[in-house]
Amino acid sequence: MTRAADALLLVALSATILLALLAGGPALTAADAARVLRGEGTEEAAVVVFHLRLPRLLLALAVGAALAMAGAALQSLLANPLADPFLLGISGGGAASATMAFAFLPMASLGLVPAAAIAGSAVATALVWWMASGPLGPSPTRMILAGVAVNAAASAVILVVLAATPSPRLPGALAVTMGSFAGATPGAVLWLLPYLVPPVAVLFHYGRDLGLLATGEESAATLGVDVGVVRRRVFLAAAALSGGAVAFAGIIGFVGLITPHLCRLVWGHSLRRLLPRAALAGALLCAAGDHLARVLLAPTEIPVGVITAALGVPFFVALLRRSA
Amino acid sequence: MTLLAARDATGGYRGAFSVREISLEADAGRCLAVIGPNGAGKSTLLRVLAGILPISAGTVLLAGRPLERWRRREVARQVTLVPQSVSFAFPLPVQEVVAQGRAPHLGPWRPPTARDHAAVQRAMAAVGLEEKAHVSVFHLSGGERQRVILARALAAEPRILLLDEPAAALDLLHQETLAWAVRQRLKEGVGVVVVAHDLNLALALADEVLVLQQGRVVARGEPGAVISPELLREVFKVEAEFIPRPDGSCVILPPLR
Repeated sequence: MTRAADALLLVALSATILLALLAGGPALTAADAARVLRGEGTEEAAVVVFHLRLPRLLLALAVGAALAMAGAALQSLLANPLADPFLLGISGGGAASATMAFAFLPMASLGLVPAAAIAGSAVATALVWWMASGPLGPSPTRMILAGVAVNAAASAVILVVLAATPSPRLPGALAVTMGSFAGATPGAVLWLLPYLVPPVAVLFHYGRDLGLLATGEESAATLGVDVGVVRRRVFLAAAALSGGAVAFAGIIGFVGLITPHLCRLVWGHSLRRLLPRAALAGALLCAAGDHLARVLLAPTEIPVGVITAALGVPFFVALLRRSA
Repeated sequence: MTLLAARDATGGYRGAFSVREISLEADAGRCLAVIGPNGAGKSTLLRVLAGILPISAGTVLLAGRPLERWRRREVARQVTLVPQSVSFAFPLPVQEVVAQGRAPHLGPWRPPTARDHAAVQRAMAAVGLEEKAHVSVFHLSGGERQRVILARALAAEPRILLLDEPAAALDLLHQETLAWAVRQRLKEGVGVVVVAHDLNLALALADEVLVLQQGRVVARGEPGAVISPELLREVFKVEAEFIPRPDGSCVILPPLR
């Protein structure tokens, strides 16, 4: 069953990648794009495929993978099925900071928006950690509560900033809150790598410990987990993944929450098994979501978060009902 | 041979639930029962012995070396605590939970070997869980979950087993299974420290009893000598009935009004 699911996931992901490159929009026919992929296309067509479609696709894949892995790790770390980068305020903090940057920075400095988002996510992470800290370190329940509070504060900041944003800047600021891969450049994907590679290594290293932490902190400690160290490193890694995702694509809800659960229902709860599948499934959800966001009402783009929710939720409900 | 020893150890949660100036030895093949009224610090003591709660004065020695000089995973390879309950966030199958007991031996990367799988199967058999191997822990009763946690600890094959109220949710048959499993481990040379509200379990299993009251040791010695009507009156504030049995031991009946 899991072998078949693995194969299905890989086939679906490959098909989505091909579709996104071939049928990316009205500027180029699928036949022209196919010629580019075979190395025979015109220079203009190659620019569309390699400088517009490919970076956008790669960003969607990377962000989807990052959010899904962050969600899977946070759920186990905090022994809470509801934990995800959004609930914990990390995405909200990044988005609040990014909307402020979009609204008020001089035009020439808009390249700093991702840096602002990462700083915002870092501040939100630090705030959650500080608010949740008790005499024995931050407890999972307090972290969730602190996250909800930080998230609420971030939402309030975003609304105030949007109300005060000058109208020419409004679409950019709104895109941060609704999620979009439209701003993808080859550079953006490269910039995302430092927020992707080291955190993923951390999550894999602590995969077994995370499985133990899902049965509670004391239970994990009795089995040799250095709870304080693992909690700090994994939370930071998950925050870096989520912060990087928000910086380059804004808030994309549901991917961090639903993808890990979908994968848990199929592949079980071992993090070593779960993380790669969640990464692929998150990448698939975001890439497919982005493709549909562009083509469904073309030339108008639908916010990608709407599509990922519309795709993910019915799947999730069906699987949840079947496993009940 | 002493495996784990506390020397005037004070420690625990900061504030109300701490244990003070505790000295004890957990010896190979011997069972030490810790008894005392609610809130006496029994569970806290087990956590201090397991190195999960900090020590503020005195010391706890594992194989002669202070606990804080061991790495967490090295402690877990030798000392396993069985808590009263574990909350599961996800519907793990029983076998997967029991297999978690091998984690201290595997570290972050080593895959389980045939020896690890055998230890897991043996532990499940010891508490009668083989038929539930693939059942989700969400579908188990409280007593079955308690056996899963016990099996997980047995799978770790520790040198010292710290049991916190292991029989609290068990029916009579499984209390007997538990007592059998503990006796088997004692025969294999494992040192056992058990916190028990059930004084009859303490009388049946223990070689030595330690009585805690308000975080301090108030009595210590052979179970038959320590657990007396006077002690129960003084420490537990109850008049219990001691019914002699033909073999010279006795059964304690709590007063039920």
